[in-house]
Amino acid sequence: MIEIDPNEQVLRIVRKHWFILLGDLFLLVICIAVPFVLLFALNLLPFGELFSFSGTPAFAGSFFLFAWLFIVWMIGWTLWTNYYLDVILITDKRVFTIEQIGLFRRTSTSFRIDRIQDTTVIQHGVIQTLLHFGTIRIETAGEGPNFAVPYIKNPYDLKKFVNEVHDRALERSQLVHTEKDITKESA
Amino acid sequence: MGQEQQLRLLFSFMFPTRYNYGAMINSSLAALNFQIPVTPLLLFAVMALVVAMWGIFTLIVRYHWKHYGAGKLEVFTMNFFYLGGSLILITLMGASALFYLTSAT
Repeated sequence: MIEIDPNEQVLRIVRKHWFILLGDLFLLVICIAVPFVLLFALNLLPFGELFSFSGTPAFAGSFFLFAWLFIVWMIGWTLWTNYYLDVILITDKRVFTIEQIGLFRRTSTSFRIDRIQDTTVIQHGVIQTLLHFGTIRIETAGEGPNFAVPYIKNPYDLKKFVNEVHDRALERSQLVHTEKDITKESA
Repeated sequence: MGQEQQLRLLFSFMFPTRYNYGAMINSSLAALNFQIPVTPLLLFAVMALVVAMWGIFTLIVRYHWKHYGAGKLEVFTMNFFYLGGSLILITLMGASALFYLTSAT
C-alpha cells in the first residue's frame, strides 16, 4: 500500500475526474474497431489470396479476433491502472500527490499539512465548470516546488477540506506550544 | 447483384479510376506465388506468445495494484474482473484454435 506511517490516519483519497478516461475509452473503441475495418477491407481487396488455410477460415478469423481483443484488454487495464494510481492522499499529517505515468514511471511527493500557505483552484472552460473538475494548486512554505494536480474532481470541495485539515493541524501545533510554555512557567 | 459486387461498385464509385487495382494485386500475387500458410501450429504458437505476454503483464500490473493501491476491496474487485475477463478471452482463443485444428485437413 501507499507509504504512510502506521500512526498516520488517511482522511481522504481523491482521484482525477472520469472525464479524462473518455480519451482512453475512445482509443480503445478505435482499437476494437480495427479488426472489423480490416474484415471490410479484406472483402473489398483480394488480400485473402495472401493466406492459405488448412482448416475453416472462420475459426482462424475468430482466433485472431480474440487474440487482438486480448491485447486490447491488456492495453485497457494499463490505461485504467494509470488512472487509478494517480491520487491525492490526505492524511492527518501530510498530503501525498502520486502520479503514475505508464507502468514504470511513478512520482510520489509529500509535504506536511501545516506547511500549506495557499490553495488555489483553477477551472478552464465550459466542460470543467459543468462537470465540476479542475486544477488544484497548493503552495507551501519554503523553497520546495508548489503542487499542481490537474483534472481533480470537485476541486472546491477538496480545497475546503484541505483548509479545514490545515486549520486543525495549526491548532494542534499551537496547543503543543502552549503546553510547553506552561511547563516552563511552572518549572 | 451480390453484396460483394455492390460493395466493389460503391468502392469504385468513391474512387473512380480506369484501373482495377484489385485484379492487379490478385494477378501480381498469383505471379509471385506468395502465400502465408495459416496452420494450427501457427495459431497455437501465437496463443502461447500472447499468453506469455499476458503472464508478464499480469505480474507487473498486480504488483502495482498490491503495492500502490489505496484500498483492499478495490484491489480485490479489480483482480476479480481482470482475471475473470482474461480467462474468458483465453478460453475463447483456445476454443477457436482447437476448432481450427479439428477442421484442418
